[in-house]
Amino acid sequence: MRIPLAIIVACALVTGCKRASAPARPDGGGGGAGATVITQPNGPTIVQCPATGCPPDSAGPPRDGGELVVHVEAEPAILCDLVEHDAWSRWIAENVVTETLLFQDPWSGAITRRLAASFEATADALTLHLRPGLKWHDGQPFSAADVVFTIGRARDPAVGADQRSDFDPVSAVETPDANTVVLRLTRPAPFLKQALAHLSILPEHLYKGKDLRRAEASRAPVGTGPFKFVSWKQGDELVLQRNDAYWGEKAHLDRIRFRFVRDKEVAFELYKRGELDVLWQVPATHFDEVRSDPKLTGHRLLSWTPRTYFFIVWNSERGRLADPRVRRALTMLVDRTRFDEVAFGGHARPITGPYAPGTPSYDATITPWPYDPAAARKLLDEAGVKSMKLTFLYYGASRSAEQLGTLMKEDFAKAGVTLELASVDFAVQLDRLRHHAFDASALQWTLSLEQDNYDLFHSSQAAGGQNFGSWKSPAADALLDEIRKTADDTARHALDRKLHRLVHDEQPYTFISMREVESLLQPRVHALLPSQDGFTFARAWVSH
Amino acid sequence: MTGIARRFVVVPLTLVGITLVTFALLHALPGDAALVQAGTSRGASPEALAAMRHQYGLDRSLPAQYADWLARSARLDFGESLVDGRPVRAKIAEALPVTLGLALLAAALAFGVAVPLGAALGWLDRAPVVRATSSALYAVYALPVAAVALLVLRAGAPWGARTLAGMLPAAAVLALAETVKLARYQRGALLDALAADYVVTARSKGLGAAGVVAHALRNALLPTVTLLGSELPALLSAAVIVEQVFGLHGIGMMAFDAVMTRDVPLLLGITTVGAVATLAAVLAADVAYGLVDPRLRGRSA
Amino acid sequence: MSAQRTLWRRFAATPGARAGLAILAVVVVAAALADLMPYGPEAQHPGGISAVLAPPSHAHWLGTDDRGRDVATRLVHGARVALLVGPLAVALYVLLGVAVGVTAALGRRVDFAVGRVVEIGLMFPTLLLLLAIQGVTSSTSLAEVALAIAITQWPYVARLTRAEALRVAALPHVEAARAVGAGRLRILAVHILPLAVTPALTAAAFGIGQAVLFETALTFLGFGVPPPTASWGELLAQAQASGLAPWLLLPPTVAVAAVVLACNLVGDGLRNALSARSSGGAGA
Repeated sequence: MRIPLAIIVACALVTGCKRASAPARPDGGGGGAGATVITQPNGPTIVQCPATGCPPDSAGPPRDGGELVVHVEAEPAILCDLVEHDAWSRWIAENVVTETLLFQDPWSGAITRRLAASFEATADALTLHLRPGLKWHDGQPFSAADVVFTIGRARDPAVGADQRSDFDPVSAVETPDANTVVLRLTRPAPFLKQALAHLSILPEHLYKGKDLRRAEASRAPVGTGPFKFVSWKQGDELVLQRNDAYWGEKAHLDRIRFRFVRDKEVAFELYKRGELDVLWQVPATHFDEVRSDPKLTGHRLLSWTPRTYFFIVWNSERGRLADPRVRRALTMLVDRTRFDEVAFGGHARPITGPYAPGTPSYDATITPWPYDPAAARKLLDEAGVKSMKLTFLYYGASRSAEQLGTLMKEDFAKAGVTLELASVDFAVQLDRLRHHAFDASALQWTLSLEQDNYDLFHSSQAAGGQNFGSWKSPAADALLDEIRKTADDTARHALDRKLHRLVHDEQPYTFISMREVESLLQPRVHALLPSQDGFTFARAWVSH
Repeated sequence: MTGIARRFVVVPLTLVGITLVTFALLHALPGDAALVQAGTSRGASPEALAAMRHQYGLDRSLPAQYADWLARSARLDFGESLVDGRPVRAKIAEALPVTLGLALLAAALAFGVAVPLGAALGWLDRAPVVRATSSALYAVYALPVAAVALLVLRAGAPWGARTLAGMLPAAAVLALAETVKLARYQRGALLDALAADYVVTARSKGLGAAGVVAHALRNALLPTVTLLGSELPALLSAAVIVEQVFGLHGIGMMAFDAVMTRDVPLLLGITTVGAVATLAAVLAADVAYGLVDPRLRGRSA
Repeated sequence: MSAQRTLWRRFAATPGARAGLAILAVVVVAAALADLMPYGPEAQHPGGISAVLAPPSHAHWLGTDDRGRDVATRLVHGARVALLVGPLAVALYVLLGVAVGVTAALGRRVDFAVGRVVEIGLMFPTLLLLLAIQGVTSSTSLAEVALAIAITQWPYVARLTRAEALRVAALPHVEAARAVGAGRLRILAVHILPLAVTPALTAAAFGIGQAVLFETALTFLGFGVPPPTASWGELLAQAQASGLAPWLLLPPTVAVAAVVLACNLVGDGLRNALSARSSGGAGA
């Protein structure tokens, strides 16, 4: 079996992934409108979550106490999400142990308060008023100094935080008093509030003068959140405990145990034995059997779509791949529907561009290029390509990438394109991507609700940035530059849609799909809802 | 200087040789720890990568890096893991007992089953049941470890066990092939011993069957033990698969991860420990061989 | 009776040796005729999930895998991989092992050096080497997998050969040859090598089975023959990733077991045929 790696599993985080939990409100956002709930006498309760989020379950009232055991596939190396880019690192820590200044609803994108009791945004400043009297889990007082410290680290290029460029418009960070932080802006900062909503504030007294990766606090995080860190036995499990001194609404659970099980099949086995309460992702091979398994009666099966899309990046600087017609032809040779069926049992949604479908940035009028080998062959002829040889680079442990590769190999051959599969380990793939030493590669990105695609598509990002395909388009550059300067949401979304259309025409990526995830919860688990940003641990409770 | 003592002198040289090769290979691989940690993330700018490389000492020249490692390891300081900064010694100390426990448990199981089994097969040499059992043993020997491991897990074996008792199914799987090998060896050794002159003499003198077997067995045991000693390295490498399937966090999995994350200090530490263990096992086997056959004394097996 | 007939008689007299040979013959024939199978080994059933992960049926005798590929076809094609990788790996490591091992008979100093070289070989970080080969070339081919297997196994052959070479070197007629003044190398080539090779040949027979097991393990861990090539290790890995469906798990297991069993039986026969000793002795 292929062994997944701690660092890669979930996604490349374009901007932080956040977890949904609003302490002073009921379950994050107004989720669930339009959900379909199917209760079965001989099978699990199937909940189809719409784009507004998963609906809360109707059981109640919540009971305090008990322990929750959560399956984690890829154990993070450290728990400091400023430098650890793995999804689970965030899902365990952010807004569970540590907290952010603002909170972003993972479904609607609405930004509200959290550590900041209130905030004001003007054209040249963002002022945040912190809640007074907060304490860190170790008893030290929380203050604006911690915020300034954290933002300083986020902006430090040597740290490599995802949010760094979101703070570019900030010229100065001021603290008029211990509970106020003012960010002075030199120009509009459209992505700043979102960045703050995904920036866990770090305790300065534990990190000052230390390297973020090496500090003790990154292995035993100290925060202000509803849960406190207890212990972490590497390779085994990580334990959190309820923070009874929490400033907001206290959590119900006594303890959460995150159990690290690399193999999805083994985890599934353990779930069935009752050793795990939460399975974030049912393995694709069991999708159908799980829906009608009588042994899972009373369990909840939540079907939802994370904002992660699977795609093929073409090296737009190499030979024939520089011609958009060739890339378009290759896209038309990829049978995305068949791939979705084979890889995800059909549980996937199409996507045509680098924005979250259903958001105003996504141009819903664009239809995907069809799977049409004949038309592809014609396009190739038009571009003067008789035959072509390409190598498809992918991370060997990714089963879906391998499935995609084998499907493509077969289909491409029909149009005279020879595709060779190169399965490599993660480090090699990264190296080849960064050195642009590939023809095509399979990757996935996670989308923010306000997506800044500058790093992916701007020509300046080809050398050393995330523009692995070296796509250089002056039109795209102009749009991306403009997007970064447009604070007005409506105007910016219109620009986003323009970029969407451009990317669709030029196909620097072949967009495959967004896979649906089925999360499985034991009958005793209540009020635990998954989302792109993690689980609602603060609201969850167990019935025994 | 006797042969065995001479070997000890060479040990440090051998260790340097192996670690040097490991170091060179790891650096020849594309990608480094900084790249793996940064991944495809937005924050993985050239400055961030450079800062990480500087912090891990990866921007020094290769000879300088190795020389530094060598100097530290001579003081038994293997440095810190590049992935989480924990001392390499601590990480190995956590994982080594698991693998050693697994391997020794497997060896014990194999030995415990193989000796009586092999002795029985040797004693009953001409009986038809021997033919049937031998064939069955061969079939068992041929099963791929991975398949057996998966089947055992499916049948309900515990996963992620931390106690010796919990590791029994995993050890049993690991022991399977070894048991067969040892049983056949034991049978052969017993047959040889039974045919030896002194046994024939003892029989003619009227020594009871039990006495004869005991005497022959004692002589036959030694070759089996020596075989076990030299099989330990192979057992340790087969442990990787078993560890992976049963969720045991031993050295095998740790070495695998260290390679994938290009964690140079951790891998060098594991290589050193592994090399020392192999050398010890081989040396023990050779001493045993020397005891069995005086002609081979002082030489390696 | 000619020497060859004696060899064959001794071989055939070993229980199971002929059965082993028969099994191998079947596998070889199946591999040769693999293209006659009704489906291609990589042909993914067009259209639809109904044809994916299907249990054995009239159309697919061993069912299909998660891409709708016919398992029986892939099983037979896997035989090709096994029969290519196995003998190639064995040939490589027998050559290397014998070459290194036999030089031990050249003298005490050389013997010491050979012993140390073999030790290093035993401690070699194979996993790392595998990745190095994979990382430096853009893909792994069967030859590289065979090379990787060879690198793990040659020390064992070297040890066997060395022990045998030393034993032969102590034989009276060899001692006599040296006393007469024959050069060391000549003695090595003429007297020692032909006899010392015997255990290596036996090891080779067992080794093919071992190599198949190895390839299975390597592919299972993700380092062997890369997909989509149908090797038995790949089939096992897919069985594991597809929830251990029995029609995916059992065929490659049985196939590997059969080949390894056959090789072991043949190896036993070879040992009996080639050596003067008749007792059971050590398993490979």
